[in-house]
Amino acid sequence: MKYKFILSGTGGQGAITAGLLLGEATATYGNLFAVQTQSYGPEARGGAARTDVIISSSKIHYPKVMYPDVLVCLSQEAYNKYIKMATPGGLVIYDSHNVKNVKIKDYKMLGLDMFGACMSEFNSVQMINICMLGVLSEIVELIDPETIRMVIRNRFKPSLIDINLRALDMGINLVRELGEEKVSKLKLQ
Amino acid sequence: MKKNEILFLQGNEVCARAAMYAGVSFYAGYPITPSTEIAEVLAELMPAEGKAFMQMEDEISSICAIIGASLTGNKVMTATSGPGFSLMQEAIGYGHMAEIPCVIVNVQRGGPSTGMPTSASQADVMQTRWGTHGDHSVIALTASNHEDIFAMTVEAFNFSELYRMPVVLLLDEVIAHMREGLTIPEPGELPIIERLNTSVPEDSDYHPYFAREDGRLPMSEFGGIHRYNVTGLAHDMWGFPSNDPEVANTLIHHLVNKVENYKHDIARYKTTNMDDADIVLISYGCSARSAKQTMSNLRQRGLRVGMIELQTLWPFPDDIIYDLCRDARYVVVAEMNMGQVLHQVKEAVSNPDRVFLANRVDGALINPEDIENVVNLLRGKGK
Amino acid sequence: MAVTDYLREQFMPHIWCPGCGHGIVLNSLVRAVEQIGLEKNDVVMVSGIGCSARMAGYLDFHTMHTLHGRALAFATGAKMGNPRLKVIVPMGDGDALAIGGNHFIHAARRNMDLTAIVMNNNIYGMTGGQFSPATPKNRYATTAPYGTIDEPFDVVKVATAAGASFVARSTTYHVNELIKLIREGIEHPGFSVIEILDQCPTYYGRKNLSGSAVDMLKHFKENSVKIGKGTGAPGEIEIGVFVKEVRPEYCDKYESLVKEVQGGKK
Repeated sequence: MKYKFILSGTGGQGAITAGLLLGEATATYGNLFAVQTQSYGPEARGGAARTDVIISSSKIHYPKVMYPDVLVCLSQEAYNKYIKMATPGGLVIYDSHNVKNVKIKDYKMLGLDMFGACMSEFNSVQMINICMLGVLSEIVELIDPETIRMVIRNRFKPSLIDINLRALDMGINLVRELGEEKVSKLKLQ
Repeated sequence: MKKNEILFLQGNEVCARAAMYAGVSFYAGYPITPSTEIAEVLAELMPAEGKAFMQMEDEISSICAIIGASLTGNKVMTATSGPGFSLMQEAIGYGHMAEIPCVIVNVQRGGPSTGMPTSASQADVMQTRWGTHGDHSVIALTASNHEDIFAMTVEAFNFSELYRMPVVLLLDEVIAHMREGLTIPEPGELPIIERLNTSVPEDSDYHPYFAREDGRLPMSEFGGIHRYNVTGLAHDMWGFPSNDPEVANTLIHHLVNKVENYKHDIARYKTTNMDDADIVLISYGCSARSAKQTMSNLRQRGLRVGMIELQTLWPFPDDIIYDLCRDARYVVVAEMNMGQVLHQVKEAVSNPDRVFLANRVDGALINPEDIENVVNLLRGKGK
Repeated sequence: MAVTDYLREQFMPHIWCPGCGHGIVLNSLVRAVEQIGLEKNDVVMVSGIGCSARMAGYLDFHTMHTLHGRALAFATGAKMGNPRLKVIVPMGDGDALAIGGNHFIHAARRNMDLTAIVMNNNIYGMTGGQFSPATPKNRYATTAPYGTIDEPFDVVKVATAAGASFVARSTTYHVNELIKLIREGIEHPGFSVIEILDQCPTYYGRKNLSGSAVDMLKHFKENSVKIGKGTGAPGEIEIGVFVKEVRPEYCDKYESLVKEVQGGKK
């Protein structure tokens, strides 16, 4: 079993950090193989940023993502830049507050208001990337949310652990609130 | 760090940690993309262990400083990328001439000149071999995954001590920046070769350039009991300059033979599915990851594809390649340059006309489809 | 120990031309080392390339004859690799200031305990008499057949501005003072620069009609003034100690850093 992700957002939204945490969660605690890559240099400073993550139950060779099973766009800028990477039959998850201009094509689309949820819960959007990981873990069966919790507990300053755990659960709940019927169509098993 | 814990690390970080494992006690370097993280990690780890870390004024002083520190008894390393590696060439030649153990990590990036600093390339293979002026042989290792980066970094230190010479570790932007899981080996798990110090007693004549029967040249550190001369000039077995043609001739042959005669000991490579292979992929570093994927894709379609991953690039393991490729219908070399290892393979095999190149030089990692397209063309199935 | 005990006498006579001042510098250096009473095993000498660089081979220390301009970089590694050692770096003017200029200013900035001896004969001797960054303006060299238009470096000013904590100048005429200055430089716990105006009768002298080696030494004698005693006349050579300040030394600072890191203070 192998899933390929492209996580994208605008600089500062933490898409790349999320990729790193997802990789660490699956590789260190999830007993899976994971590879994370990202673009460096001028592209990484401001503007849309992207990271590629592959998680797999067997060794991963080619480390980049050409055909993502899931493309995540946290901003309109990232959406405009990376939507061309979406694959037929693949899933595109976007933040429905930030990404307004969406064209439906032959891939599955899921818009969730992660921005709004973060604002109402924390009065800040700083945790939007962790919320997104919650969304992913609910949709992709290979991602065990418990492994992400372990990374959060090990990586974050004590004062930030609780709030990030809550952001993760918030993402999980955003998906659950869609209802079982809709979620079962999106799930990657 | 818990025992057997899997760490999710960047390739550069793995290299830095492996250097610590190998016992590096002096590092000097200058920031340059995409190698900088090696210095950043060592800047944190080394002082904590009482080891010396220095950021120098440029790459030239970095390589010179590590050679100086090697002579005062340290295991030494520097890390750089394209332009910095070019700047280091003169002193690397000095390291070969004076036979000083040191490790140079070159995280390759696009070139020539400033090129594509943040993009992947494998175009320094020939510079590593022929970058300095004059004749000598070199040892260069490479790696395609984190376990191998760790092992090859340690091996680079081992070879540098064993053969008393600079050793180059050729990484690339993709694996250096990529993160994947790695369990750091336990102390003792990988063999470490320590500096061989002379047993010649004080007041007896020590010859820094006189090889033992097994070919090794025991050292005596500066500050120790033997005073001798080290020079980049042609020199005798005491290290003093000599214009004697016979002395120069012996020295140059020694600098070549001390590597070429041990080619088989230095050769590190992996073979997969070679037993029945009629199409052989040869690759190394980041390209080897893609080649492996290509092999697995084509095997699923019933093609008899095998693969050789080279970890030692220099001295080039030509007779090993000759043997392994003897029955191949096609040999495809996958690399991110205009054919630097390709030519070595062509020289090595019995029929160079059946060796082909799958490459990419645009800074993007060569992908499995790029390699597959070449195989398909060879099979007459090209688009 | 006798001063000759510091020499590798088997390599004498040396390769320097008749009348060259480098032998005087070698002589003064050996006497300075002898006066301090340094153990031969505690001294590392690192040189670059050029006439001056050959000095290392003639001395019975741990000697490293390296690359043009890079002696200070090799020396930096050697010292940091074993801070217990005394590291002395003889250099020529082209070696130290042209190709090695970057290493020179950064070594001064770092204030590592190295002793840099700049043997300034205003010319590239080994390659046959080309002008250097220390050749005065309007002088002749094989690469300046019509006279130089370049402004020269003032070694003392460069070293001072770059942060050297000991800076001195003398000439090959003032042998006794030279021994004292080299001794002071070696004993100074920080980066020391001793500029020694040195005669090259073969190339600089011949090209610039400076006469014999004796004439050149007389020129040093007649034009030298103690610091502060000069009139500011052109061609005047100020000699003496320009800077002598004890500032934190690099290896010591690193050792303190290591202790702080290991003690959990950083």
